[in-house]
Amino acid sequence: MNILVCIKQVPDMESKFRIDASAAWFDTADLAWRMNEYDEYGVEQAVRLKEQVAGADITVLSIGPDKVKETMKKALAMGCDRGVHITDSDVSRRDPAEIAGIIAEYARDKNFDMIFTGMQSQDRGSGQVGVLLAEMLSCAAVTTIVDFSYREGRIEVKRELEGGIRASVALNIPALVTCQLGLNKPRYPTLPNIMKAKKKELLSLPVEDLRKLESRQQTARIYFPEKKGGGLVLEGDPARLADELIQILKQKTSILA
Amino acid sequence: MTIPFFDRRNMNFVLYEMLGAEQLTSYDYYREHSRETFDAIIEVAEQIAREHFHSHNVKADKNEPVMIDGRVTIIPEVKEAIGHFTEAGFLASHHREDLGGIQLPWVVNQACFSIFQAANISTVAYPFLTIAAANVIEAFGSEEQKARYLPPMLDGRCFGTMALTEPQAGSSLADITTTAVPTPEGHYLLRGNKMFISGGEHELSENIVHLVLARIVGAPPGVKGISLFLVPRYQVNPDGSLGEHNDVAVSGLLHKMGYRGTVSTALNFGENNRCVSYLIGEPHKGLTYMFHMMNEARIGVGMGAAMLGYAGYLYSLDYARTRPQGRLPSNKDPQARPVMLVEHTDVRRMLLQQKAYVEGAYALGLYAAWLVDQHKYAPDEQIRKNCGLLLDILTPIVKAWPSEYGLKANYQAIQILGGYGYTREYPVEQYYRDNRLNPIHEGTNGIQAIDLLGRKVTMFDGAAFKRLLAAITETIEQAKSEPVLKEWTGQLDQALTTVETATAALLETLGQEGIETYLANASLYLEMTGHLVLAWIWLRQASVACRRMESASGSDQKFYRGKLQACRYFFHWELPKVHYQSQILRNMDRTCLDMQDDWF
Repeated sequence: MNILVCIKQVPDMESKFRIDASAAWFDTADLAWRMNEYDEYGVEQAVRLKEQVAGADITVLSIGPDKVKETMKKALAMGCDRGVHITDSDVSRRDPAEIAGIIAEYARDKNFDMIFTGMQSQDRGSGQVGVLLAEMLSCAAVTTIVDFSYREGRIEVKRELEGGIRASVALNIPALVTCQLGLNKPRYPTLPNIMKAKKKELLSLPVEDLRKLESRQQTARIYFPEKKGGGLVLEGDPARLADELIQILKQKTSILA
Repeated sequence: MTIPFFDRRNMNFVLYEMLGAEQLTSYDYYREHSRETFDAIIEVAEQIAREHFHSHNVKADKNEPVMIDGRVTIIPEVKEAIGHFTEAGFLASHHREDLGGIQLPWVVNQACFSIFQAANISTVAYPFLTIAAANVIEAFGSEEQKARYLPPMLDGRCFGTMALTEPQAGSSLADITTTAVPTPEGHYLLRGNKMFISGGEHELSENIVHLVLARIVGAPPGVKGISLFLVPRYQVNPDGSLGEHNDVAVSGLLHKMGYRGTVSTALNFGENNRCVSYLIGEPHKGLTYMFHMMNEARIGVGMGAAMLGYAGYLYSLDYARTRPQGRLPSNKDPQARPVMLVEHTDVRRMLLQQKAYVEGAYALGLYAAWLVDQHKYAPDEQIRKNCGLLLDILTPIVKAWPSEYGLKANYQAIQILGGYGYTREYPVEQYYRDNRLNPIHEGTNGIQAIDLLGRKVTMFDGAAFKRLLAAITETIEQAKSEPVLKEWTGQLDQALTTVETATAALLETLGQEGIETYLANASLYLEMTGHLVLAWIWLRQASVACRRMESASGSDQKFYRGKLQACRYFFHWELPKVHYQSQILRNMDRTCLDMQDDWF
């Protein structure tokens, strides 16, 4: 089985973000970087699938500047077999269709049986790359999966819906799934596997060779939303204040129905 | 990854910018490594420490181990955390590949360990003891002992302890009475009581290996008659399976002030006269072997003390930045918005004091670990020798100084939080309680002082002491040309002379008045030399900061400015203490020596 996992390197979400000079993205200086959380579920599920299916092979792919290789090494240490690094210093400016197009261009003739992506990236959060990629490769896609099983060329997944409902979906491979929180608990790379990862193949391809689609959208600006309203200070005699508070709680919250 | 109890930026500074740890990869033993593998490994340590160690630090403190039906029960999070630690490979990381390790440099190992120590000092104590015990078996055990006991110790099936102290003999190991009787089968039967044995009994692992100091019947009195024994809780069959219980009984648990997640036990060996034990190495050399373990353990204790101080510092820093309180003295308007605590100069003093202590202690601890790597694997024999000498003389300081001053840092962290800091709702009081153990265990700081002045200063005809002075002089010479550092190089040079003079005067006393007078003020000597060493370490950090400052921008520039300011604090507020301390020592002050019991 030929498996592809697409991962993205994103800032640690506990970092202090600052908007950069272009106002279209954040300043990347002084940020700590890590693997997009949802992609980590994808890597883990791919490795579990490989452990189940003899002879399975996992390619992990990422787009970005040289530093994304650090994150790719983590995926290799978790159990992926080889890496494909698409070198691109402008990745943060590309729209989801462009990103999906680049990956599709790489993947088109590789006959991947299963593709795992995160359901969205933590920094841009468009949630489009996975489904666009599936469409471009003409394979089935299921989004936001929280459970995955494979048997004889067919996968069964569970999707998380609103209202506490789940949907069970079955489909044949080749297929693409986008992974949601709760799918699994990603393993830690072990120290011996970190050493082994160093020797795994990590191919670099320039983005120019794979970029066939033009951008369809641009982010006009990013910004911190204005803080709305402050605290409400009630003044007056206690009995009236109590009535007033009850009214507010009824109107603005569900504490008092 | 951002974690509140640890400063990765400072770790990178010490590890890479000050010590140049990447250069170790040019040594044959570490050739498979690179900065990339170091960083990836540190990242795993951060993740496990945050998710599995820090998460139950408070719970372990509030729920100390208890005996239920004769078995020690520990909250389940401890076993789970150690499981992740072990599965990741941290127990075996520094060992050779054929033992399941990855030959990770000791300095990187200690850097990883420091994260776990900051996250949860009591849970990491179990692997800490196991690693130390495994190191002794690897260094001095027979091939059969290594084959039978090392694999389970390196994969987490078996934990280790060190059993030295007895109810009547703590610091004075010469007075231990646990005895070992040889048997025709070649092993020994052990009998005696041990006290304060951390990790002495639990269900965290299948088995426990106690490394026990005892006397073979008929051995000479004193420390020259002490041997080291390997005593499993359950006997181990030749095929590795577990056999009978080995007559090691828990007679009670100790209820401690801090480190409460680490079970502390009183153990009875051989109540039924069937405690099978195995001699490690040769008879009567037990203390030498144990000190092999103790020396690395002492560096670990110093690092632990630095990390508890560090975690308190980071917490109080965050608190001071976010807690509005009062107004500056120049602002007389009671309606004005209060400023954050950090705006008050006296709060900044307390923060600077903590920063100077904990970042100094941290750099010293990693430097000592780097010396271990150099001593073992540097290709140049002279470098190996010199680093060994530095390690010898610095070990008591690396253990004692951080455990004394890390605790003082914790004091200031509580002070910054004020009344809140004194409550159990905030972590700083736990850090203080946990850290209070460090001046006591692995040889009290009083013992460290005697070790420094009584053994290390005079060893090899003073070679280790001279090597230390030479190393400090080298740093002074290198830093002299930098205008920003000029004032401090002069001050360190003076302090160096002061310490050298006091040492010479003390050595003269040794010849004239004997060892009692010579060692009378050993603790003060340790403190004075400790301050000299810490000032040296700060000058080294400041030199790096100076070099890097010019090309740095943004947060890096602020980081380096912070280094220089903390160095300034240490040189202005702390280093001058060595001069009056030296005065007391040179005067051969007899105040403590002459004090009589019935005058108290």
